[in-house]
Amino acid sequence: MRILTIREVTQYIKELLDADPYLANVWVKGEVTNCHYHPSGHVYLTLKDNVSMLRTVIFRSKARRLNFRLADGMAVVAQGYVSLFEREGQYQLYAAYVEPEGVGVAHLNLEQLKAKLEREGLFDQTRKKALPRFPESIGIVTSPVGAAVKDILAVLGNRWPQARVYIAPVTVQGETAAYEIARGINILSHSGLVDVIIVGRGGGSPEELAAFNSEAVARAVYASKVPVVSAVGHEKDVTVTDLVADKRAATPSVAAEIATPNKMDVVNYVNILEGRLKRAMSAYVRGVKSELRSMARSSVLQRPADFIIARRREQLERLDDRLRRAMRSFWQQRAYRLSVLSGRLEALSPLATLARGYSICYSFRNEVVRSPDDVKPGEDIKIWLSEGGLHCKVTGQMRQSLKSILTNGRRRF
Amino acid sequence: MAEMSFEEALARLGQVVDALEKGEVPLEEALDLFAEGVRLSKHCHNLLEKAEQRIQVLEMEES
Repeated sequence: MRILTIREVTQYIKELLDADPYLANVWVKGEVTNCHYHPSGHVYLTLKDNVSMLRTVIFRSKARRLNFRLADGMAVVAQGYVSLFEREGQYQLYAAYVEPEGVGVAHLNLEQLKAKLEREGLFDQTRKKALPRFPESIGIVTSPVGAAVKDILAVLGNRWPQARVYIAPVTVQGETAAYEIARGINILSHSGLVDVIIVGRGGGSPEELAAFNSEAVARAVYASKVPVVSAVGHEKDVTVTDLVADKRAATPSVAAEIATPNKMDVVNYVNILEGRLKRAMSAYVRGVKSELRSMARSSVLQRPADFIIARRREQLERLDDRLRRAMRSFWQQRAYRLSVLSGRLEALSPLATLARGYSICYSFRNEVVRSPDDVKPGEDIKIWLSEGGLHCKVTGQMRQSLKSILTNGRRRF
Repeated sequence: MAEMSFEEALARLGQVVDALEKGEVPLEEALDLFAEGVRLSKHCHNLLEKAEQRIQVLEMEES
């Protein structure tokens, strides 16, 4: 049998321990004793119960994340792996996470709440509202006496002083905090006074942040009509409020920065637009001027009088022509009418009747004789024929009319 | 224009500049646009210069 070195035995045992799946991740409950914060940042302690002890080390990187200070007599729950410290031949717990025992339960509740709200979609990125680019009015839900409100106001005053600020004063820790914060958010959201809400406080222990992990605040943030920026000054643990908020800031100051544009940037932007406006206008005016120049080169403006006279003359000729035509057609129309009328007039003329063989008889009194009684025998009468006439003397009268002779068919008279 | 918010005024100023840069407007309209642009820019600057911070603490008493 080979004689082993201490190192070989120790290493063998270490390998056994490291290979064990249970020891790779354990939760251990116990009371803290011999707690020692080493200057290197590592924390050494022993966990014990009424029967046994477990040497425990928390390396600096993990110890830094603890949000409370370990002390002897404290009941804690630690999570980590068990391995062997070769130099001392000592198995020990390498703890990654330690919390006071009561907090463990709260932690579990919180995880359950987060899971529930996530299932309901309160953390959905698609539901996040965009922040206004130039908020005119900003609401703050925080303690009116804390550092957070001072930080926020200082940043707002520097970056975007024209925004009106409405503060909903609330207590941010203690029993009523969750209710007050939720109510503050609701009031600001429904007031119509603000474009964006900043809610938060300047950091704190998990117990102090409890209100920001409450369902009431989470639902108030989710229900808000205006975007909410969370400013729970705590980088290690993300609170429920952070998860629901439209934007999350590490500190109240950062929240104020996120919620506002930098005034200097905006002034620069307006100046740039103003410059573009003026350049665009001068470019426009240059364009108009060159257009005017090219117009001035055209013959119209070179000899305006000639051009205008020529145009007027043309107009005049056109008018003259129209006048002539109008006159011509006027006379033509009248000449036509004249011929029509004279035709009709001719048809009515007694001359045409005489031409057909009829004659007109006048008494010596120069009246047309229509009846045998218009004259007496012996009187002189005048008969007009188609060509010339006759002086006659009445020698007798016929009572029978020509009409009756003609209609009786007799051709003799 | 006095009631125009900063955001609205800035957006309109952008439109005015764009329209002028395109140069497809008649002269009279261009002059009007330019005058409007100058007014808008002045309005924006005025809003930016209103530097005093106005802070109001709401009454949180239960009603």
